[in-house]
Amino acid sequence: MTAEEFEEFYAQTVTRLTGQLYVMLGDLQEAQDVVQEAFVKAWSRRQQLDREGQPDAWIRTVAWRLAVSRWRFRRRSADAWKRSGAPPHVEGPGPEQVALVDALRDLPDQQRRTLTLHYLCDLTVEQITAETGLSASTVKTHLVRGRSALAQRLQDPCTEEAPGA
Amino acid sequence: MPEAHDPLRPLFRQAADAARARTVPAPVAQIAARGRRARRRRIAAFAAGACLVLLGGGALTASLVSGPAPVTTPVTRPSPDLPPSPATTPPPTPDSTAVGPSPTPTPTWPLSMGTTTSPA
Repeated sequence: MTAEEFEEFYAQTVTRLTGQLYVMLGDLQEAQDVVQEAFVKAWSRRQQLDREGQPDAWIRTVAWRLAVSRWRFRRRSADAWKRSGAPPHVEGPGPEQVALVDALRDLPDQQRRTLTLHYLCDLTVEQITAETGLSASTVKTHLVRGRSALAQRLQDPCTEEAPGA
Repeated sequence: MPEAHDPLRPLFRQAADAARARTVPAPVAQIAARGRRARRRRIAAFAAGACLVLLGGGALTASLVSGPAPVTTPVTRPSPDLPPSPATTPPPTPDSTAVGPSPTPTPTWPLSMGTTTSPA
C-alpha cells in the first residue's frame, strides 16, 4: 500500500471504524483517539497491512487493544488517585449517548465486542473467531447472552428471542 | 444464531451512524507525520539496541580472547622455620662506603706503614 493508497483508505474508513469502536467502547472521544492511534501505527506498516488483506480488521483490532490497555492504565491510575485522596473524575452524560450504547456499557467487554462485530460489522462466527482469537463456542455464547441481556435492558419485546434461536 | 432481520441490527447501525455524524477525523497529513515520527523513534531505538549488543559482544569477546588471569597463590602467614628471605637490596659493604665520606675515620696506608713496627 503506497502513501496515496493509505490516504484513500484512511478517508474511506476512518469514520466507519470510529462508529464501530464507539459502539464497542461507549465513548466517542476515546473511539476517535484509539482509531487515530491505530492509523498512526498502520502508517509505518503499510506494506504488511496490504499483504494481510483486511486492513480495516487490523485497524479495528489494534484500536480495540489500545482501548483495553487504556482501561487497564486508568484502573491503575484510579487506584493511585484513590490512594492519594484525590476525587475521581466522573464524566457526565454526553449528547452522543443513545439507549443501545448505554445498555451495552453494562455488558462485559468481550460480549460487547462480539455483539458489535456481529451486528454492526456483519461478521460471521468464523470471522469473529479469527479476529478476536476466541473459540467459536465462546463467540456463540457471547452472542446469545449478550442478546438476552440487551433485550432485558432495552425492554423491547421485539428483541426477546429464544437463546437457541 | 441471530437472524439477519434481528431488530438489534438497526439499533447498532443507528448508534454507529450517530457517532459517524459527529466524528471529526484528523487530517491524513497529521496521521502521516505522526507515523513518520513513530518510525524514526523505532529506528533510533533499534540502532541504540544494536549498538549496545555490539558493544557488549565486543567486551565479552575481548575478555575471552585475553585469556585466563594468572593464578595467584593465596597469601599465607610467614613460617618461622623458613630462612629469612634474602633482602632485595644487599647489605652495605665496606666498598660501598668508599663512595662517600665515612663518619668514622679509617686508617690509611701511609699512616699504618709509619706506625707499625716489625716484630723482627
